[in-house]
Amino acid sequence: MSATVPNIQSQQGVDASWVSRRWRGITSTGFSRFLGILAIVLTVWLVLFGLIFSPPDITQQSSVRIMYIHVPTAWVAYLAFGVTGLSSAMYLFRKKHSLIWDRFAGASAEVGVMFMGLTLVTGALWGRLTWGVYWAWDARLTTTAFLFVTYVGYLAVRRLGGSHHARARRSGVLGLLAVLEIPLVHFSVKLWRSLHQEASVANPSGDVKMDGLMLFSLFVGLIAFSSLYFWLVLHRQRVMYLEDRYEDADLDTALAERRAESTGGSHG
Amino acid sequence: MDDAGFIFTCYGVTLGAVALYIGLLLRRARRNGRTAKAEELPWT
Amino acid sequence: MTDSSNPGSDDTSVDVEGDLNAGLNLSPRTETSKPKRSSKRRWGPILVLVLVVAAGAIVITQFLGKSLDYYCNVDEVGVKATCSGERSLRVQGTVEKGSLAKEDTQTKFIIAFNGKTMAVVYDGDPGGKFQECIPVVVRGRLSGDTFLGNEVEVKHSNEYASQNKERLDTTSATTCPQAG
Repeated sequence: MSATVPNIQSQQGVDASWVSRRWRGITSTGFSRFLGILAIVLTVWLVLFGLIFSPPDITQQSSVRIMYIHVPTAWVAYLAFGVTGLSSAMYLFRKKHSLIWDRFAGASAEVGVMFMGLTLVTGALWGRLTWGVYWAWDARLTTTAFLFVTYVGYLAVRRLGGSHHARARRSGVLGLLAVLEIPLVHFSVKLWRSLHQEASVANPSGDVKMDGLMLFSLFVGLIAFSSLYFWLVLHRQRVMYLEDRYEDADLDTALAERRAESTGGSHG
Repeated sequence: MDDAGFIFTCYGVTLGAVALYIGLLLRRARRNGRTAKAEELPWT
Repeated sequence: MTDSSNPGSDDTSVDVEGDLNAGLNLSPRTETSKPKRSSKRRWGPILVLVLVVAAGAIVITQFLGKSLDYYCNVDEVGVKATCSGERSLRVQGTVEKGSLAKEDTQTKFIIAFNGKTMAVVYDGDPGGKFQECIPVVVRGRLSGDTFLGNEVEVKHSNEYASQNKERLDTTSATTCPQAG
């Protein structure tokens, strides 16, 4: 450090609490750390069971291994959009109109869109191996594509601007309407004839036509991705709180914060 | 394993996308949270 | 951490503050230095929304433009109005055991459903897990008694079984095991 550039280092990040929070992660808590570790352990299990321990299928051979990823991503997307719908209702119909519900709705939709996209990609890979084609305009695939597109639209609507409550009202209505597509997607294979097979586990008849170890691998995938989903939504929601907080703070506040930072940093 | 390319692509794309999302999320958290005081945050 | 220590990037506007802010780091930090963004028209999301509506319209027309049901079963061809023989159809049936034959580039097989059978000629090698005793969907046109296929898709059931376990009892059979 030369004398002409004084104290540059001491102004930045020397505050002990800031440093420690940076390494722990500002959005993490004891519970979310537990969830994160659980998600990592279960994901390792999923890879081990999906790729190594589970047997190849009698007709699909190894391409059945894609199912252990594909089905959990679809399930998590359903769950995520369901949570978005529920949180939207909580925002719209509770007297308090708490923005925390709006943030949960937005966070959940974003995570859901990611998982739904992965459902489409992994499904296309499986389709190429088993059906012989990446894509078919059948009922299940078409309704899934529509669901995906709907929630991409939902995320765009959230970013149109205006106050946080305007955003919450606008997207809340959409979040409530869009969730109605989920039963259509799930039962599309019952309502119409489709290339896609019916559900093996979540079907009304209740008898599961799947080998034990395959079923277990699928179960590991479902639990792994569910815990991953909760971890992601919790953190996304907290990041959204921080983002909203920044948008609220105008320039004066930002300047004041920096002034405090430069004077407060020297004795940190 | 037959069809190994497709299967590894499937696992790789999925886990890679999730890891990328987590990376972006933590970066945004750090950026937006750098002046936030722990006691102001509702979850701490 | 691009913004950690860059005193050279201070712009002229901060000089107004004078000595008070000497040594104060005012290098741009994306979030704090921006004015409130909510008053501005945001074109990014609007563009995304336009694309979303367009994509949604394409998806719906792709779906509704064709029959909602993806295929006709073998026994419905020529019986059901929507499965009449004149136009291009998708027909579903199980590939009969022992019917599969390859001649030059052509693949010939018989598909059956609900007691009715249909001979299929497909120009090429069907992809996916195509084999005997598996339900398939063939797209093509009926010409006399044979169905000229130009697309074959394997319709997988929702049953999953370990390869090692069931191999023994299916290979010796002369007919396909009865599936639901």
